[in-house]
Amino acid sequence: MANLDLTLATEANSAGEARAALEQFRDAIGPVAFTDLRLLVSELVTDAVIAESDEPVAELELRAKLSSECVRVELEQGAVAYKLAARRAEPGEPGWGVQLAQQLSDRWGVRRGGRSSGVWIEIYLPPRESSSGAEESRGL
Amino acid sequence: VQHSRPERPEFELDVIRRGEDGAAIFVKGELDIANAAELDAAIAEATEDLGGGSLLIDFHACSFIDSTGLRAVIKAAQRLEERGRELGICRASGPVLRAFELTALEDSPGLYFRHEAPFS
Repeated sequence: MANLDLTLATEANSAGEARAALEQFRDAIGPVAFTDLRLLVSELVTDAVIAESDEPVAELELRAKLSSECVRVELEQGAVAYKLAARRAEPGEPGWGVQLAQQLSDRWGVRRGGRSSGVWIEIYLPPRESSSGAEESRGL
Repeated sequence: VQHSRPERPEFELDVIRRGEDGAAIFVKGELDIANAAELDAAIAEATEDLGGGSLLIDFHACSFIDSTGLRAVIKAAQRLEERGRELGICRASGPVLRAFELTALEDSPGLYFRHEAPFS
C-alpha cells in the first residue's frame, strides 16, 4: 500500500505539488474517489496558504496512507489554518477546504495546538471486485 | 515516501478575439491559487471591447480547477450578467464539472455550459 510524506512550503505553488504527489494513489483508488481526493487535498493546502495568521508560516506537512479500506490524509501546519468557521465559507475563502472535508470525506477531524493546527480526512474505498466475481454477485 | 519534488503540469492561457463573435479564453493545464489571478486578468482583457459578442472559456485542455479558479469564473459571470450578457463554459471535463457541482456554482447567474468548442 502506498504512503506519502511530504513537506511543502506554505505558498501558492504547493497546491499543485500536493496534487502531483497524490498521483501514486490514482490507480489504486479509482477515478471518482481520486478526483475528490485531489480536489480536497488541494483545497486544504490552499486553506493553509490563504489563512489569516499573525505569524509567517514556513512549512506544511502532508502525509497520506492507503490501506485496502480507505485513504487517510493528514495535514499539519505551524499556524491556526485549520479550524471550524463560525459561518459558511464561500469557495476561495479561508475555511473552504475544511468545509469541503466535511462534505467529501467519510471521517474527518481538526486539531489545534497553541501555535499549530492540523486536519485529517479518511475516504473509504469501494470494495474491489474479486477475481471470482463473488462480491459482484452479492451486489457489492 | 516522497523524495523528489513533484512537478505540476504546464499552464497556459490563450485569448482569441473574433470581432462581432466575441472572445474566447482557452485554459490548458491546472487552474488553482497559483494562477487564478492570471485568468482574472485574461477575463478582464477579453471582456474589453466585447461589443455585441459573448465571452466563452474553453476547458477542454484543463484537467483541474479549484475554488479560487471557480471564483474568478463566477465573478466574471456576475459582471457580464449585470451588463445583460452571459459567460459560456465550453467542453468542461470531469474534474472541472465536479468542482462546479461541489461548490453549487453551476447554476450561478450569467453562466451557461455548452459541449461545443468556442466559435463552432
